Amino acid sequence: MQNKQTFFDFDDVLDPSAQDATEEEVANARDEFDRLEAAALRNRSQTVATLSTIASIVAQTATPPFSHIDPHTTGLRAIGHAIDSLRLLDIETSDMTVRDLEACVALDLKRQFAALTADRTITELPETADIEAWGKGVVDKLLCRKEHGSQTEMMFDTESGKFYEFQHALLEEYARGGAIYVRPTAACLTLYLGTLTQGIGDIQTALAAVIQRQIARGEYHAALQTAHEHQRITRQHGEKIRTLKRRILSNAGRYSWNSTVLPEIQVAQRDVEDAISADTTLEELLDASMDNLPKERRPLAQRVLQVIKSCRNAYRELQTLAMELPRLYSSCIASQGFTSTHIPLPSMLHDVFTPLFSEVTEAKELLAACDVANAIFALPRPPVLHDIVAETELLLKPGLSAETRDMSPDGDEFLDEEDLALSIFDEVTITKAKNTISLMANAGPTQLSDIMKALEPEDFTEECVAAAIMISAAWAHNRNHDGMYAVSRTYGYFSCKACTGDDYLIERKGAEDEYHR
Amino acid sequence: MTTSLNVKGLKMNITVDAIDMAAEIIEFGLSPRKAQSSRRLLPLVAAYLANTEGTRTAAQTMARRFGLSITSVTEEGVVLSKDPEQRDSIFMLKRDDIVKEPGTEARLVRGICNAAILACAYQRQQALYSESVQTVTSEEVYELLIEAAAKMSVEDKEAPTSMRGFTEAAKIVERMKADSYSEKSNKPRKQTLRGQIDTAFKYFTDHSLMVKDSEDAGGTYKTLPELRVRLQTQGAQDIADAVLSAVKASSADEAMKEAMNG
Repeated sequence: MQNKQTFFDFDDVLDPSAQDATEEEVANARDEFDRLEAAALRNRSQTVATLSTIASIVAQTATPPFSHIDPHTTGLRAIGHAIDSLRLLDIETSDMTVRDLEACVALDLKRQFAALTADRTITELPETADIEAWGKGVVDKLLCRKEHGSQTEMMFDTESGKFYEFQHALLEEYARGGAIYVRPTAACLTLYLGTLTQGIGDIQTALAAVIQRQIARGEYHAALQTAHEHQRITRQHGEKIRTLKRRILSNAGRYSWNSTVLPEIQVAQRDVEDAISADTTLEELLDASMDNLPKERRPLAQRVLQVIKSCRNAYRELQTLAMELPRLYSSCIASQGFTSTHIPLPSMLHDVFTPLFSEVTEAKELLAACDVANAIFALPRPPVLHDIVAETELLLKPGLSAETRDMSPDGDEFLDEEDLALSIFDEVTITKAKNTISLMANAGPTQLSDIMKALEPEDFTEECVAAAIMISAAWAHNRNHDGMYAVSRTYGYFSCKACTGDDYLIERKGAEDEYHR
Repeated sequence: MTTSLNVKGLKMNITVDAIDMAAEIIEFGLSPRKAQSSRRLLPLVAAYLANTEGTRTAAQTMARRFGLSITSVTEEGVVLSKDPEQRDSIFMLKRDDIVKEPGTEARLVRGICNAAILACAYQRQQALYSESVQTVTSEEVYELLIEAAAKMSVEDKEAPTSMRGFTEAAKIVERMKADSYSEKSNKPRKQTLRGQIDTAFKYFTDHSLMVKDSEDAGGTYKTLPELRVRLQTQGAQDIADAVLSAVKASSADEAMKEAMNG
């Protein structure tokens, strides 16, 4: 307890409202009230928008026998499947794929059709393929897929006095480990679980009492049902702590430590403690009574115990998460680096594609823009380093330009052997190569490929190779060529009769101003 | 055991453990995503987020030395990019890392296809903020390109045959739009627009930026988190800036040509 207290003893310097708190609180009371009211309005309007999505499933014009289906229950059950697939300890992670969900919805629909046939409302069951297609339609609607009408509503935020786009999908797809799963959106969880307004800890305690009574009476079926309810509220608790974490991450500076964050953490902690103690009592009770139970009752009691245990473990995790929030708040206040939602990002259709397609008339400009678009997705890759001696041997075999690059996996040995490589050329060749480089680089920044173009037509093939060796060696050793020419690699290649390789930019060191002049 | 690291003139003591974790973070970023195991990744993410003066500083310093920058370290993976300030990095991209075929035409086609794929995936600005998976189909991308090119021809009825007045992108689409399928595999031929769109998608799937979900609508693809992170952090803005400057340069060239003609 002592430890926990020191954990919460937050440095007042971090709290913007700590100084002159009373005065400031009075001044800000009205603003705070308006802010809360705006937030409540926004939540309510988003819930209504989400509800309208379910209603739109009802409005689907279906022909018999599908017009007899109860779309409310179908939609809600589909959401229920997705919520139940969430992991207890990690409310953002589910193990259900879209196809799994479609199969569940199809199964629910089959049950409804079986009931309709029994009622004699319809004479025969529809084809399985039709049921599956209709089930897919329900899931698509809940996912707000593009082809199912508008994905967004324009809603008004009274706090900022502006309209914003609200995406009222109830389910969303997300990627985990290269596979795609489906999970309920935050709006959906709020809608589904948020009807409970009293403290979560109190509900858990009440539920624990109910389960205890059911166990005592031997009503294990009912106890399992209640334990599942208990599990759902655990998820809601997870959602509550997650919301708090998100708020801190999104804009910690806006929430005062003393008046907002600390009370919320304390309430969450108290709820968790209540729930854990209730779960522990239940677990003990079940453990104690397990041996005395008749054999046929044991598997059911075991399942109740399992559910209770998983809830208790989940609460332990949530408790750890809540304990970490003060540190998170402190680091967010210190860095304020998380507010990515405030950075305006471009629309890839209106700001990129449309102007690129319809306003860029010059091929050169289009190529420059395309290169940027292409390069964004190229991942950094370790380069293949070349063995310069082996390369030289290959370079001297004319006509085999494709083979002149040593791309073998073992070719990563790097040797400082520039002199050895150059020793096969006579001095006149080396001097000619050096002079051409200096001559061209003195005139302005030049590229190795340009030097090749100057040398090659005059049949200075050996000079080409010598120049290539000198420039690539200068780059590889991170030094200037001839002590005064800076060398940097470019995206392109050079190629002459005898050799090919990476292209380099050669600039005279410290001569930028001179060039500009 | 600790060692000292000199960052911006400050001497810091960093444990060997932190350096080891920093190196592992960079290794994660450089290795193909398939090999990333979440059991190994989670402690690294925790260390990167919590130990800002140890693991994070060490990782960022190491990355900078290699000419890289750490874009994000989350449980979804490590995303590295090339540090724009270091042109001469050993990780510098070469043209054929992106487009295997030689010549400018291949780069142009790939750029247009990439822009169209992104336009379909992230049509709204908000889509880039959202962690939701976006779905794009090959058919949808093809239609977007064809419609955009058709719009150009409607707007410029004067010279539809010679394609004068068309933008460069529209000319390419008009030239490649005709369908042709391989007899054996029944797939679009490589040199057609559909074939090029498929190649662009293949680049995304090969680099774990997208995943192919089904063969519906010419191929249905879903975005993976790394694609969003790359765009969200800097990529989207860089592309938009490049497009803007291309538009400005184009209109300046047009004005100059008109002045010379007039």
